Amino acid sequence: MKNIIYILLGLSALVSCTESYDGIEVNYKPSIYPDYTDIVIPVNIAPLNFRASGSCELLSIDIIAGSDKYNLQCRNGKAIWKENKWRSMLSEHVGDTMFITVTMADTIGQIVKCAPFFQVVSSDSIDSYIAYRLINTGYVLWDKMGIYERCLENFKQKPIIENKSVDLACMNCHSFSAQNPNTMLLHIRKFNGGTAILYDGKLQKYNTKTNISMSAGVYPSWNPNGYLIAMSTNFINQKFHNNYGKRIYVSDSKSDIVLLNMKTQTLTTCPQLSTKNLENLPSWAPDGRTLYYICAPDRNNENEFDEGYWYSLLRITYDEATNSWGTVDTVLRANDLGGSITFPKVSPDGRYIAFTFAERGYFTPFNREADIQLLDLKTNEITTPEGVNSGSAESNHGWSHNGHWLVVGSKWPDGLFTKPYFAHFDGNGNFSKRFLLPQEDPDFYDDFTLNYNNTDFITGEVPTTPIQWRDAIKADPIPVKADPSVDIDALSGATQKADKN
Amino acid sequence: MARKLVNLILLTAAYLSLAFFVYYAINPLCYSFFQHPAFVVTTDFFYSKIGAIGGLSDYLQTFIDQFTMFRFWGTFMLVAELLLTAFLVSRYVRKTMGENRYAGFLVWLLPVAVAFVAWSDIKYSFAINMQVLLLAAVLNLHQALSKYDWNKFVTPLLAIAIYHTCGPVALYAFAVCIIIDFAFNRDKSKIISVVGAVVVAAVWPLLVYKFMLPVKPNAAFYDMRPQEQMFVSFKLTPALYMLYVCLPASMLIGYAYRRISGGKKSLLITIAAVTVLAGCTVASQLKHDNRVERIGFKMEVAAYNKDWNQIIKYVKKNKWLTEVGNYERNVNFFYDMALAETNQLADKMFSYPQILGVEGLFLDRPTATNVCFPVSMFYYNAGFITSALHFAFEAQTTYNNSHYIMQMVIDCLIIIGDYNSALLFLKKYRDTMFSKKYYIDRMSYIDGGFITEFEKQNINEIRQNHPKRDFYISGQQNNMLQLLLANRKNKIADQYLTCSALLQNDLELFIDLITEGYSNVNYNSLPRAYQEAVILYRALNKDVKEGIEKYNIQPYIEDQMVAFQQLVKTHPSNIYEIVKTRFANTYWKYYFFDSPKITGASIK
Repeated sequence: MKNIIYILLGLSALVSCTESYDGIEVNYKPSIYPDYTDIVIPVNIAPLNFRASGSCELLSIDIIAGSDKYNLQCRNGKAIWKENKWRSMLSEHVGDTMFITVTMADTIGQIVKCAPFFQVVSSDSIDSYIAYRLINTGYVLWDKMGIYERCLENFKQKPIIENKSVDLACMNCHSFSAQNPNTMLLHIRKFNGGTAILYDGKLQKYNTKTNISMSAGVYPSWNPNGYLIAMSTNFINQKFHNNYGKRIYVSDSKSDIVLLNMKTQTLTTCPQLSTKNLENLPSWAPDGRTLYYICAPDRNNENEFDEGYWYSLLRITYDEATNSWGTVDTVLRANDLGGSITFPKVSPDGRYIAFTFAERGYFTPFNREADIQLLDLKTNEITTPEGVNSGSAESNHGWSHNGHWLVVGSKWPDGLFTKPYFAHFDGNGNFSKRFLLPQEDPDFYDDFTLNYNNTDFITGEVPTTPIQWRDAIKADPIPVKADPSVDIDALSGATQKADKN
Repeated sequence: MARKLVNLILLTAAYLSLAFFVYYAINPLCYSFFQHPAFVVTTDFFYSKIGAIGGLSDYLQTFIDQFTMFRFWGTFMLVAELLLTAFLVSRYVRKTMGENRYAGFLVWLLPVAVAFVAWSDIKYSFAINMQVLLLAAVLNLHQALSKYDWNKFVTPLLAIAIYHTCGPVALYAFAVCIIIDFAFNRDKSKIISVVGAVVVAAVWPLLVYKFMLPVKPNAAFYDMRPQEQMFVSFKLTPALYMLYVCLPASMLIGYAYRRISGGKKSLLITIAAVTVLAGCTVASQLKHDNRVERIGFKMEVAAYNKDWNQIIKYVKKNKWLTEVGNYERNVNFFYDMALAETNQLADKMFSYPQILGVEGLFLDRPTATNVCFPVSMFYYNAGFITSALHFAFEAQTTYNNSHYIMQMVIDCLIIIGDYNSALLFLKKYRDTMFSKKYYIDRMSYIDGGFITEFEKQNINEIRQNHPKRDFYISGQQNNMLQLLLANRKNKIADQYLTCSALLQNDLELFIDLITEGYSNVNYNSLPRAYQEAVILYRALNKDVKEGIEKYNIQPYIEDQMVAFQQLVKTHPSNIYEIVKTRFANTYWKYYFFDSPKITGASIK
């Protein structure tokens, strides 16, 4: 028996010993997938496992961080870290730059030692969870889908709710108040329709269509106070292009903005947000008083492909105490920029707005040219952060709770499937190069044919079970009340009933 | 020894007969355009199946289902399953109803009934699904009843296992079986087992619904179809219910007879029970038999294989198909497609009742799951690759692992030139034992290899003929027009565009199309339906469009037109009956009597 133990110990020692490779030193950096070279990473991120691109094979990784040295032997050509080792390495080197040297067998089997790349371990931690929808690449039909949450500190993914338990209903536009998982909203379409809202510890479904809104609420934005929700109301169309590069174009024939107060379960709006123009995609500033939104002229002059059909960025103030709205202020005029501004997201410090800039329209996940741009509200300067963008569509972005991380949905590199990327923000208008959501197996994305849709940060786990969502969604919706002081005809835009008469 | 040899020969002969039956009678229905998850290799997939109610049998059927797109292996698997089922059922029958050694052979009736069901139910893969569920059910019941004999604590656990492998109805059947057994044997030592099983049957589905899985009530309480793939075995559900009802019923009959006859077991009663069981299965299935739908599926298979003559032959051979009462939109669509592919659409279109007009010619609207793949095939063949890809993606939302759909997606992506995305899908084939040839061929093409099977499809010609200019894909006629503008030789687009004008009763548009010369087809010699439309146009309009007079109308058609006009003038009360007999396949009959504009027919 003892002999067997010795043999086993000896074997394990052999297996675990560090193998050294005498490779030819080359002066180029390795091409790895996912590309985790020269990036800033949060101290609490899950291991960034990777492999070599193409037919090269990783052999070992050497890391120098401060005065420490680390080595990782690669199995099957993959650099896969044990979670505890990775975590302790990062926590010991907060603020340090890790220089990573990759030894690999190149395409002709020659062992080479590449020039080191770096990863800066930022002390700015990232929110521990993201929430997203996983869905096929269907445009009209859908089948199974679900809203999931993924812990960024490890690789665990959990369903918040999957539609198989609610008659395969379509679900999306999940949204949280200031990344708080305790306040969440989710729209359900087709079957069991309504808006399921997790508020004040209760999960209930509401019917947000009233006589002052043209439709139920669509694109939402929670006020940081956790009980006001601005939502657009839209008549949405989609058209398909013959040009494969453009594929699909989603547009509205009408849209307005409404405000739902969860305390009183009342829906309100104002003439400024219900004009004949197309108000859309509301986004609260962190002060809770300023509402940013986009707006385009009404569609009387549309041309075939909506070329030159651009949305501008506007804002309006709201005083909850008096339930009164201020005057509309144009922040960015589309004509000045020569394109459309969409998906505005205000940074938690209120100084910046990250928005998507595209050649037309507002729904840009299919616009290949769509890029994330940053507006500095202090200087009015607009920049296009290089590290955040690519040659494919970038859209559906969101800020982390501390404002130091931006998650961006990008169709790079295949142009077909959206995947979440993260980039560090230094608070002074500079983004680092983005990196892809890490997976335990670096081959994960090779044949993953679902879209990560509408990815957003949350600071913790959503405190509900899928069964609670199912029961809430299956229940009859609670109708919200229309604000009796509002005198708007929902279908004719800003035309007040009194004016109309 | 000799007797054993004879038995062996008999069994082999029986196996071979069954295999021949399956191979020839069921094929080509071995092919199904629905789920073929050939990629049962990921652990996620495994967990998602096992975690669900009825998940184990679902997993097994999904695994076995992979073989169904291969004719030989599909047959092999089905027949092997039939034999295994027969063996298990025979043991069950002998245990509960009789020890007669011939009783086992009688249960052959059941697999034969299942084979019949497979034949009648269109989809071979459904038969496999049923087989697995049936196997799992019989195996579970057999095991559970055996354990019930010796361990009271195991019984409730087995009941739970049955629920998770076969679903709730199997659990109820099991509980009933145990109650029957207890009622007849009155063995008080088994009371805890009985109570345990009954409590599980009553409470477990409720617990699962409330606390364990976010499932719908039907999945937790009464649906026996696997949770993950609700559409499988859909048509076989009555047969499966029947099985679960019949098992305890046959047990009841067996025990009752033994009680009456003082413990004597009878071969006759066994024959009666098994016959009832098999008969009920077949009878319940017959109710759902739909021969028109079956032809529709056969046509879909033939269209996939581009066997256009076979599709035309189906209509020629089965005259009843052309009766208005047997109208099926899919049959209409595939028949029209076959005629267009063989360049006969304008000649023979009205040999099938075009009851839905343009909506039978095209299948796009409304966009529903079951039409997406046929529509994708149609656009692919017509050379409209962006639309083919769009509909393949739509089809994939439901059948996300179907070989056929995935291969369509890959081929379209390669033609469009999006190799990155094509590779994402193609890599799914890397780790599977199936479709290696396809994988190697497409990889070779992408890697710039020498002539591959894919290249033989004239890929470059398809690329060249695809519309270059951008436009919104809106309306089928516009799609066809754009295809024709991109390639004047596109015969499919030409026929569909012109015939759609006829089917809309839009003679002005029809005349415009043939006189404006969008295509380079020589219209000096018009096909029959066009001649009938031209002569009708002349008859209905005093001022005819310039250039129309150049088209020659055959004297026979002119004579028929005169006769038709006279009939319309006299307008007897039975005019439609006369038209149906004398002008059966003419455009005039369609124009005046069958067009949706006249009948108001629309898609249900």
